Amino acid sequence: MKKRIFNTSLAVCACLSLSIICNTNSTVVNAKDISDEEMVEVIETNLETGETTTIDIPLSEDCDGDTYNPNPTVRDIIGVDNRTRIPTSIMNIFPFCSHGVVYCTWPNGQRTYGTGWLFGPNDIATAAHVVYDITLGGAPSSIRFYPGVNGPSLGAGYDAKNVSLSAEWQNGENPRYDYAVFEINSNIGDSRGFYGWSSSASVNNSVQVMGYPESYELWADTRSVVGVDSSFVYYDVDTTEGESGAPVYNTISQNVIAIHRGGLDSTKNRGVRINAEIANILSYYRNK
Amino acid sequence: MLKRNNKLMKGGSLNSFHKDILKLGMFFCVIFLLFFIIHTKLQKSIELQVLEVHDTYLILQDPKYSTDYMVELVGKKSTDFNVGDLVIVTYDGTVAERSPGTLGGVTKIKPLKK
Repeated sequence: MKKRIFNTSLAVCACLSLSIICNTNSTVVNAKDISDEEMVEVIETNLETGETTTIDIPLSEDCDGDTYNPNPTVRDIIGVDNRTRIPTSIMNIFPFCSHGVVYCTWPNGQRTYGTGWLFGPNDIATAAHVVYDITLGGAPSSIRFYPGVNGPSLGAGYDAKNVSLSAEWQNGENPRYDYAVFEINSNIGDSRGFYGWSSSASVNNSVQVMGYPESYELWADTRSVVGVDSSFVYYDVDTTEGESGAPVYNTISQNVIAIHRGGLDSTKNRGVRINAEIANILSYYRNK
Repeated sequence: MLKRNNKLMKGGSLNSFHKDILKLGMFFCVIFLLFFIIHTKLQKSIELQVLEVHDTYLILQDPKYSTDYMVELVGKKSTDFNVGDLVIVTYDGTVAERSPGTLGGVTKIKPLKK
């Protein structure tokens, strides 16, 4: 009898361990549980002088940002279910015109790019790995934002005057902190519109990822959130190289809930969740 | 404690005690094996062609989809590779989708042919 109980408990323990291992990535956490820290540290690098400044941004509870759309009648265009190229004829309409290519030139001459999006008049958000890479020497020698691009050429661009990243990212490229913001010298968001954001995300939310895969063409796909935890939003939206930094846009609440990072496995991709920390940083820079 | 010592002194009880220890050991072995299998399963390998060789990284291309990747040199020197070489890269399955893309958790870059 004892033997049977012992064997059964062994089997139960093994099953429990297996289920814990398998379900690590699909924990659902409420937005309220996100963070209890009071300050968030950001390192801002002036790209003209190379000076770095550490900024402590106080965390406040309500830091969601509204979307500014100068032409609200066209919002319903968003909502296709398969990855598709955005027609060039609508590139002057929000939100398409608020996306752009973030083009970096590194000290050794290497060139890379990702996707960025306006979240304020002159504020652009992207992924940290788009604008900071330890392998390539840290910060790039130049960051240029090309808004409203839809292939094949880049057109007019705006130089970033500074870039701000989490200190945690600079200290070891922890994927949880894969977000960055930078400012340009022109208030192009006033005419193009800019995205709002929300720290509220849950499974089955309909989300769209719109970014720049090869050839600077703007592509989008809309599907569902399949998992959420305090740091990431997981979704089955199709994405490819060049879309890092793209907004993960909740098509119902019409707010950005994550910043696209890349592929996780064959069933889902992931983005860094706009949690309280990131929401406060976005608020700080929009209101700066 | 006294009871336990008494049990240990008797042959049958000693066997049972050892059996329990053995089962516990087996349990930990099973858990270790599970972790090992899952870890190995998460590792992925991809065959890529060398496009550019730099001091600390390679630019590689997936010939099937013409997608470029930047891979940090792990356990190898830049002199071990030439443009056009085929390599098998073992990584943790994650991709950061900058262009060129970055493969996450690269553990091995194995040249296929020179």
